[in-house]
Amino acid sequence: MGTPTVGVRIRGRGADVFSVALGAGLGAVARYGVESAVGPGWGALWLVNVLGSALLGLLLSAVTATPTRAGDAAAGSEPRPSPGRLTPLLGTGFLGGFTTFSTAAVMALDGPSGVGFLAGMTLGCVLAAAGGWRLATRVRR
Amino acid sequence: MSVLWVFLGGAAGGVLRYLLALRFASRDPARLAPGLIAANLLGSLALGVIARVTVDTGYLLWGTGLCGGLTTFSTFAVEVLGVLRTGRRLAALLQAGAMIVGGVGAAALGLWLGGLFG
Repeated sequence: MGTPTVGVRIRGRGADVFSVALGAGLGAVARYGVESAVGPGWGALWLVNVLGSALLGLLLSAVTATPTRAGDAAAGSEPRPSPGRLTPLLGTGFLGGFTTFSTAAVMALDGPSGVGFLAGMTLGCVLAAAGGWRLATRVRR
Repeated sequence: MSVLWVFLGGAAGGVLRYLLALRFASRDPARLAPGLIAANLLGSLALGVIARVTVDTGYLLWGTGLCGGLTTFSTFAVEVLGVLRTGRRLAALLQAGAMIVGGVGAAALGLWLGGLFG
């Protein structure tokens, strides 16, 4: 599809931009809610990121027939069946805004084992995403 | 009120991440999407600065909201999973490691830059 400018691409995707904004705003508020309830720290981050990764794996597996790249799904690079319309709102938006990388990167600088915590979180989130993916695959069969 | 700042920042950050994903998409399943890498590194750098120069409401808008919404862990995890599914385990490990080291490095740079202004 060539590489049109962002402006050209966005014009046809106004609804998706709105969905992403709404979803990401709500996702960030949900993350803030977890941080407020659990208290800021690695515990809240683990909860948010592992849960969000599992749900994204579940969602993407549910809306796509074959393993896909999340970035491509987010970009809507090809026409998808109607459930795929939920991806900008729930995937790119809500779960993207719910989970976060920057706080983990800053917190990793606190203490000597911070980078290890971040690496462990990455492993945990990849496993969670794989678990979510398999769950949706099984349900579909 | 604090929830409103988090919402606005998160919405703006999410849209920025979406635009980066559109602009810097990748068709190679064995590579993390460049848009995702850009969003996470940029957000980590920015949060380092923001952690130094903002407090309270400012942090909720720019930190918890904007940087939290711009960066993401769930897409990162799914993308690493995607690379693993191509069978290239070493590539998945190296790219995940590079994201971690790059993100922490960007955050450290941001904290240093923020310290100059803060």
